[in-house]
Amino acid sequence: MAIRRRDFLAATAALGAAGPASASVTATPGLRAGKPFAGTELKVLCVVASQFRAHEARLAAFTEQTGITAKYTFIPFGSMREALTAEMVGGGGDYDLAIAMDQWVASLNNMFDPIDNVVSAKQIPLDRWPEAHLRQGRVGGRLLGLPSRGHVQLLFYRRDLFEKHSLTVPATWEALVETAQTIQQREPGISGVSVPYGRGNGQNLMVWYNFLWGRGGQLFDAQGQPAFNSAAGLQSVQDYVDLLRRHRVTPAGAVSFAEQDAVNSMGQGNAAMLPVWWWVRSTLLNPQASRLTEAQIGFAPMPSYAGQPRTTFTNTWVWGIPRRSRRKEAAAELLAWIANPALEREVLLDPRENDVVAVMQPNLVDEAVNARFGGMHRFAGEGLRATQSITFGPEWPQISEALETAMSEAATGARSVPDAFNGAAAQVRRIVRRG
Amino acid sequence: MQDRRLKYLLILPAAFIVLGTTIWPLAVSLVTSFRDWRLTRSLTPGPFIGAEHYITALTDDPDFANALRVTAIFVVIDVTITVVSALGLAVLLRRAGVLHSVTRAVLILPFAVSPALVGISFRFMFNAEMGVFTWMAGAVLPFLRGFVWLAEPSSALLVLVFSDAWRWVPYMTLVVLGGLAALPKEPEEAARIDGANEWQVFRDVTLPALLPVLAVVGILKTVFALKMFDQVVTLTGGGPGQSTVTLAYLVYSIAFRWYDMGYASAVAWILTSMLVFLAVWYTRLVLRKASP
Repeated sequence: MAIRRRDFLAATAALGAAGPASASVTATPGLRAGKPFAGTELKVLCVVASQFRAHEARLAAFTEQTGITAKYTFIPFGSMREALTAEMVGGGGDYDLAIAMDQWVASLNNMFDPIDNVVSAKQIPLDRWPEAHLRQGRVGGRLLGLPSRGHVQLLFYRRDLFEKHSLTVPATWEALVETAQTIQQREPGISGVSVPYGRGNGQNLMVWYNFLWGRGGQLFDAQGQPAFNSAAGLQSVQDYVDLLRRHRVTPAGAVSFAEQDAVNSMGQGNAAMLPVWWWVRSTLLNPQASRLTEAQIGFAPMPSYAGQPRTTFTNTWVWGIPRRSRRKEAAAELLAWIANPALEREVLLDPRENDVVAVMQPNLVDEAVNARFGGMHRFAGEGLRATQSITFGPEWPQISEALETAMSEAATGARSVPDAFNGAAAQVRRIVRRG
Repeated sequence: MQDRRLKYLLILPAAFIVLGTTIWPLAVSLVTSFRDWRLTRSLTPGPFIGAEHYITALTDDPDFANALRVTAIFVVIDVTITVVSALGLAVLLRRAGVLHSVTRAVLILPFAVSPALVGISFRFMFNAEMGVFTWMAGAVLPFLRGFVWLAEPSSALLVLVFSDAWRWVPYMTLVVLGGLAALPKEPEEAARIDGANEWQVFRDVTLPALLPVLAVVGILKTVFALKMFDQVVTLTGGGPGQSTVTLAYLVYSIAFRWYDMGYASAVAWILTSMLVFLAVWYTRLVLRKASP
């Protein structure tokens, strides 16, 4: 297998930037002097992600500094919530550090200990994380977790098709429709834009939130009551559903797509644009899952409405210390090690890794990181600054399900947009009232 | 006397296992169904609230009403298709011969596939862009070309039924084949001698004699269809809308997504009572069949 000169140079440069494997992590600030927890073995409950596999592979450096060892248990995303629930209910104190997705944190608040004291004792500066990520670890004013894996949305597009037809990357939703229609006219068999409308973990809502914010709508009002069925809210749903039903610029099957189906559609060359999480880059570049090459894929910030900021919905995973852990102080040491921006940077620049994910401010603007990923992190940083966010209360999973059902019904045409979302609003009011 | 003591001693280990793994969890969930216990508020069960959860489910919960309706429709279609297909296949495979023997052996394979995997496979096969079944259906019936099977409530439910029937029909065929093998040959031969054609022999002699077996198959399949969960998760996700949310899937959602353990236990017990009713019916049928 031939190695291209350019690839070799890029890898060498990245290795140079990353430095020796353990250089950065031997200098973790905030660790207790004298290795007071030497000999302790920590148990870590973790979702499957290449980023965390990379952390696990570097644990020797952590052990060298603290004398603590750690054993990671990796759970696939589809089973992660059940694993956390079992840990919360079981009461065995099986894990000393666990990771949870933002949308679950409030409903899992009984599982985690507040870590405000840990953070101040270890002098971990919280401005290290963009507020859009950091607030997902807070519940009721208490910090329950520190962000470690965070996603922003980007608009992926077929650079080769855009260049072939001299198209500009759309900055507004209106332009996105026009561009998609042009592509469909000039490239028969290829859909303009792939988005999911089917039920599944609220995935059919995640692009729509940007439509909602762009129209000036909100999910909830100041009293926590549903506001998504306001005139602006209903119009935003209509705009989103119109991509499928009126403009017909999505694949016909999008009505039942989950997020992965939408990604597969683009990866198999059936769609020209894909608004989705940035981590999908590695899927689109994976030859086992995609027919596309790096040269064919471009990305840009998510479109918005004319004159409105370009927002992104965020997805954040936070590390917390389970309330029933029996080794909390040692767990705090590992938390400080993971929260070190140098570790995140090292993984980002490791040429053996291909995971784009970063949540820490210094790395989002880092020159070497942006050089490696074509400026993706700079886009992410800009989106994070401009975006709004959703406060996920304990009832969020139930509310999300009511909303995704309404979106699915509106997309299939089983109910009109006002009917579906006014119905969802009534349901959400019942959920909120019951508390 | 010693024999009696030994008898009880020998069944003790099995009794403890059943008590620990079945009776105790069932009893705890029954008690939980009368308590207010939301994990978002407390890690320990809250106060007793009587039959409130049951009353809410049966009178004031559109999600429960929808799941009950979906489950009922699913069970009726699924059981009918499974029983009729199993009967038809069993009659076809009744004859002796190498091909029939091989087919009978191969029949068990779909049942060996995990239901979650069946759901994932069917999701791919019914994918609107690259699904093999979508393509085949369009090739055979042109009006189905480009039809998005998982987008319409009725067709999504049919796909769910199809995936379940694909897994169960072969197994039930083997059960019916067993029933056919046990039937005495004389009545069928007598009917043929009296001039009945094959359809008349089947309708008037074989089928009535096979009815107890078919009843057992029907009840067993009803019990399993009522518990439909895996394929809902991996194939339809309950959608489109709520058109494939079954009772078992609803229980899962209430317990492990919404963290309302008390209400989930109540809904689970409503489902369990249906299953217990059917299990008692099934047992009675089997015992009646077994008695001389």
